Amino acid sequence: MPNVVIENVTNPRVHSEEMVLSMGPHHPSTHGVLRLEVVTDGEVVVSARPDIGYLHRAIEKIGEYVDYRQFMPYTDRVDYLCSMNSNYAYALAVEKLGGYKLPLRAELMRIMVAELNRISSHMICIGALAMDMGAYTPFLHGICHREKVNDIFEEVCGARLTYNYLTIGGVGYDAPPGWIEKCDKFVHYLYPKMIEFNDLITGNTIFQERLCNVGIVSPEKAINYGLVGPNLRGSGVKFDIRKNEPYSIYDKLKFDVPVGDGGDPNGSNPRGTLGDSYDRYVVRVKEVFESLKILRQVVDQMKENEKLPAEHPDRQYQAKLPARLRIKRGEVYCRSENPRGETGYYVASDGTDKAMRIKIRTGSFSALGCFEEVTRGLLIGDVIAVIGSFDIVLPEVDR
Amino acid sequence: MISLYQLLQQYCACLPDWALMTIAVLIPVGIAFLLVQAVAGGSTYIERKVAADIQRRVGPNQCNPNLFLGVFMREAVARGKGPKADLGGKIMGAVLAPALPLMDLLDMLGSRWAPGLLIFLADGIKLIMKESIVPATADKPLFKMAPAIVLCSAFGALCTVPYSSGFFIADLNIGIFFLAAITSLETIGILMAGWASNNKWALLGGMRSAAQIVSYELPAGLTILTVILLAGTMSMQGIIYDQVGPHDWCQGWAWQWNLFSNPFMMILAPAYFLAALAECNRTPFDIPEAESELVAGYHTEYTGMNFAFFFMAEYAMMCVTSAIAVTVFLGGWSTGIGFLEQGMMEANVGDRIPGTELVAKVAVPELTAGEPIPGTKNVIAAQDLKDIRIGDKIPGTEQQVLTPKYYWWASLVHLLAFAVKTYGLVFIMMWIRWTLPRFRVDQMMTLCWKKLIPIGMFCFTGVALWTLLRKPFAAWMGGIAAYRDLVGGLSMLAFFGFIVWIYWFFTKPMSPDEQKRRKLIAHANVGHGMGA
Repeated sequence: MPNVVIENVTNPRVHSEEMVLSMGPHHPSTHGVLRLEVVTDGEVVVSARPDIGYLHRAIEKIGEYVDYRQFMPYTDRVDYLCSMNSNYAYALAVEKLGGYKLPLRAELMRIMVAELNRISSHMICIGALAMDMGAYTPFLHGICHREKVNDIFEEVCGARLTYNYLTIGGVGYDAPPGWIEKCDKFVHYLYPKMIEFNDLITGNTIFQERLCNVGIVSPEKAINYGLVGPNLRGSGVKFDIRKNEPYSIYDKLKFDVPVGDGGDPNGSNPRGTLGDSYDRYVVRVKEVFESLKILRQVVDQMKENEKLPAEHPDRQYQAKLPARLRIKRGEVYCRSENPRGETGYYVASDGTDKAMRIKIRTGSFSALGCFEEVTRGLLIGDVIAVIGSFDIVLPEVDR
Repeated sequence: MISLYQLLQQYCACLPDWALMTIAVLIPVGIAFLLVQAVAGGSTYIERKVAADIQRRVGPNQCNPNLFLGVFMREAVARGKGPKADLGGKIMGAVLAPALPLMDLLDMLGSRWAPGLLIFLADGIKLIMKESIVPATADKPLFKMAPAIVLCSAFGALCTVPYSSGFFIADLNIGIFFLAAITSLETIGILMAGWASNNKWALLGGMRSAAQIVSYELPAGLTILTVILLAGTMSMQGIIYDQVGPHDWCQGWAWQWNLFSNPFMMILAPAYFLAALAECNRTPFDIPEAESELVAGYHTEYTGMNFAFFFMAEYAMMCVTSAIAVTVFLGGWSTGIGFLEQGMMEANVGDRIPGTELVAKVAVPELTAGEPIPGTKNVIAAQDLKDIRIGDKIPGTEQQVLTPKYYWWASLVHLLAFAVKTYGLVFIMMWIRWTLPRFRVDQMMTLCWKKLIPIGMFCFTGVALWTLLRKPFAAWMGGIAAYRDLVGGLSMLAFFGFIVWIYWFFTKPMSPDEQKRRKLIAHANVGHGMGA
């Protein structure tokens, strides 16, 4: 329940004045260039209004001036913590619009890099949340694990942040020799490390005290505000695009959709409330394990795939597409499950080699929508916790 | 014990008295001033290494101890051998050349044992050379005064720390009270910094700091009261002698330290440590400078050396609070090895006081106001008792209050023991900092007012009763020695039991509930021989 009750001061001579704090755009823990106009009464937040737009780069508009393939690097910049997933969402949309079919190996490679990127993105999120709560070490542990993912990505595409790896009709490069074994090794590496990470911070009493019952989003509110991804699932709504509207070969993979269970005495968050910050955090930690589960299956399938002869259609990493993509007139809205929730690309084509209109729908943007309501009456320290638990990445908000 | 003033009188008798006095004051003050920097610098280095170790990093490894000197020497030797060298250069090179192997050795040791040790000097030089910016809208005098006040508080506190049995700067008869007072002075500086910066973040940080330090003064103060009750003195050395002896109740063994002297002190010690953490604004109480919430808290607007003053004060304060904890609970500079302490102090009751013909018949805690002095019919008035110090004549007699025999090496051993204990506690502070998240403001206040203060009050009452009943109980048991052995044995048991408990706590099998909870979080058995 709300931690602080603002009481009316009965003594008329004693009164406090409200203070406007400009939190950001260069504040250490607004995760980028978010500016919050926080009205405080002492330490209590009266309102915290997000002010966005400091990182607007008109990416959607640029999409109307470059052709379909050239837009791919821009999607990297939409959400630089999970470029692979951003690429994926865009590629899915264009492929659906053009009706292109992909070889199996391309699908496997895509799922592999997407899940690896989900892990690395969640590492940043849970690490940064711990750092916002004052614990610096978990963040560096998260970064340390993320470096391993970056090494894997560097080997396959040469980049460590903006990968530009997925292409329309497949992936940019085939897996180099030994790469699949490396991924396998990473799965084995991360599992015990995540157990250690849980020992370090997830089970920490102070950490739980800070996050439980803070920034509660009820399931109804989450749906009404259009929260997506882990933020939505943290409120106990079991909705995952990979399950509910499966794309690629996700329907053939076995994995669970973790949801928040705050307040359940037998759950992972017994002292909290459904939809609080700790629920959102725990959902992300659980998702890392789910991604490991998926990776494990995909690695096995990739090993099978390696045994096929080189000319086999399932062995190709790219579909054969024309050099210049001219997609027939039409429009499509295609969504995929990203670390920060559902990312939808609306692509409208007028029959030329450039899109007529591209519109991106991202998870962080909708999370900021309910920010003001969620943080009302909290303390300044809690505002930071809520930003961290929503996992807001500013380039994704502003685009 | 010989004071510096006495030493000077002995060896520089030609100087006038006022000059001796001045020198005797200035030298310790200079030492204290250097200590602030050495302690702060050393602690930052240790902190960075500890942090690196916890975070699987290397930490500082560039400025090795011999760096500056070694570079200069190698250069000089190389130039001396060069074609352009003049006579002076050649002589210089020839003189320095034999020292080069030593330099290589130092280089090896330095880079292996303490890589990056001099990074704090490099940091210091950097900070001195940076501009100290004063914001245009700041309250300038207050803004400039604040870091000085904060540093003065740390500096004043270091002056009264009992570093060793033979080496300390000042042993005030209100020592621990003075320490409590002067460490609270830091709040004023922080509040001034927060207010004068004219920055909302700094203001919030300053206010938080004031609220926090004022609150946590109470549990810390209650602990100090308890110890004063036990020791009967406020002097830091007096508190240590009370735990070390040698007198009837203490023979210098570790289990006679205050921590083990009664069960309440074992409760108070962690409570005091928490309060100490809060008073130095360390995690989990680093709320005033919470970098993720308040940018940098009260020192947001400070740059260069002004910022460094806050920084130094924080580290010095860490050492001071640890030193107080060591003095109050862990026997100060005592090594805790009874026969070693007895050998070094050589002052069992009945022994001759070194250098005199007097026999040590009484120790300080034996003197009680209103009771006859042992061996005489005299009675001490309360106001006289508080002025009696070790080495003084007992009023109305020719006897001297017990004076420990002074060995020069005892002082060094004690200094080492004190440093090890203090830095042990400082290490725990760092360990906590790099492991735990921080509290929220209201949680921090709840912990203080609803938990620590009641615990402190309870323990204060408990210790008072214990002290009251100690003598009759010892008499009932058949003597102080029997009581001492019983309490010593029990506290040893408790101590080792505590260690075993800690070991068990961290290695115990998880309860089914906990296992279930962990499994819920790490629930995906990834398969192929993996899984919890």
